[in-house]
Amino acid sequence: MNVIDVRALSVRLSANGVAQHVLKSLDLEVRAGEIFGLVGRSGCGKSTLLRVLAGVNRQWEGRLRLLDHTLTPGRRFSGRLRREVQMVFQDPYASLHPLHTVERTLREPLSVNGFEASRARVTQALDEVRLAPSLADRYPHELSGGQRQRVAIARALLLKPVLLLLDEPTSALDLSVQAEVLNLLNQVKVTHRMTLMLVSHDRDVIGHLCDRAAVMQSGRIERVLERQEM
Amino acid sequence: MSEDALLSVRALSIRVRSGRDLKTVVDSLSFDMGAERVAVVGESGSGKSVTARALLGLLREPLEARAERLAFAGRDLNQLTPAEWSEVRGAGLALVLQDPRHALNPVLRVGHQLDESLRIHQRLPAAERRRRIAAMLDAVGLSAQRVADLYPHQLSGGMGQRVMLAMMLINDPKLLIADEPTSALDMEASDQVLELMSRLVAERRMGLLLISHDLRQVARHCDRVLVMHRGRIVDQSDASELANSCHPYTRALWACKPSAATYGTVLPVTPDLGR
Repeated sequence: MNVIDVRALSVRLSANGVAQHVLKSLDLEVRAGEIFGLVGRSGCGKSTLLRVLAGVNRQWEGRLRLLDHTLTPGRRFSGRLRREVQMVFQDPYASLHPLHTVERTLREPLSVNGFEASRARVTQALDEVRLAPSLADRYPHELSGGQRQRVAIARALLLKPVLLLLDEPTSALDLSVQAEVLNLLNQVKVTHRMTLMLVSHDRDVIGHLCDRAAVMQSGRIERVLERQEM
Repeated sequence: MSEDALLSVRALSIRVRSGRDLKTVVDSLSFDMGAERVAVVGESGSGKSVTARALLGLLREPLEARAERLAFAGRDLNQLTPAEWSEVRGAGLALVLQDPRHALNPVLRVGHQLDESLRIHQRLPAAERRRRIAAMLDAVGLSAQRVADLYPHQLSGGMGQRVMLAMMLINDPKLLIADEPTSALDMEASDQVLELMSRLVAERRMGLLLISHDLRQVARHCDRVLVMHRGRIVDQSDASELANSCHPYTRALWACKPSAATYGTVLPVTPDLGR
């Protein structure tokens, strides 16, 4: 089964009154349970594609099936889809609320979705990304870069997503911390039976993590690499 | 201690004051270097960047540095007045920073900025300064005609770092300190800039102190590597011997880089050595 099925997807953005064709009639299939990579230079449209799949960018044309939902342009995600698709951003400093403790950050998605939002559940979520329970009382600025990114991953995993989207999740991290986060991603893929889609400009990261990858150039998918071609 | 060392550091300690507490971030660091290429490698928080700043006398409150000996080309850096520091910085010791977009002045043209650093340290006629600027830009692989009239925001990251390098080398310093000079660049540009830096330093018989977190990358461009962890040098070796280091921390730093060959494996993570 395909988790993502994209047909003739186009996105036009306009900046300063100049319309730009960012994604040009793009086709893509991502299978259940794989880690799929998107590589390309900056400006090739890979982050735009990810933002469409996350429901952040809703101005697109074409056909888009996500899990077993058919999406309509301009409409927000609704129902289960809002839980089942989660995203981790490049810079955890910018994606975590600076005035919320880790505990509050992790409780919010639970209570919003009607789950039990106990301290015990927060501790369990931290444990899953190998962070100490005591970190729950800290603010983002009191964490190291690697710890912050692990909090962001813990938050995304809380709702047990089926599809996890990751936008350059390790490019702001040191190599040794990157190794920890990459190990964690490989592990959650198995324990949660998730599909992961990873955007990166680093071919080594893609090569290490991905089962298949698409090379993007100026709004198009140039080719899809199978594992043995990486 | 060798008498002919370009840079000699003995028991350099850096502490940060917060309230009444003094926290040690660099602990009794010692090394000597000559006109060679030395890398300082460590994770963020290991104290490598503050060490670079301390060598240039750039630490400010709440950071403070103390050393038994801090000597550059036979000159005692511990005793310098602010005026003497200004003379040494730029002309003797030069610093290349992480991101050229932040390190260059955004409102001055590239040519103007290069000219400024020449005028500060030397008295030369305008025609001679123009000649040197053109030669220097040429040496870093840029055309003066194309670049001198541009502003920093009109440069790509790689070009910006080349301009930065030109600006730092134009007064013929004896030692270049580069703090993660390519971390804002993509991998291709990053290797090109390191290659260029390493070549220019060798041609000019200067010293290079390169600070980085990527052990494998610096190993290709340096002669010797010092590995720092929590404010101490925990391992040092010739770059060519790094792959065979038996220190557990160095081994993990060496092996933690992912690639297609490590697919399906668990990457080694750095052991916590404690203090």
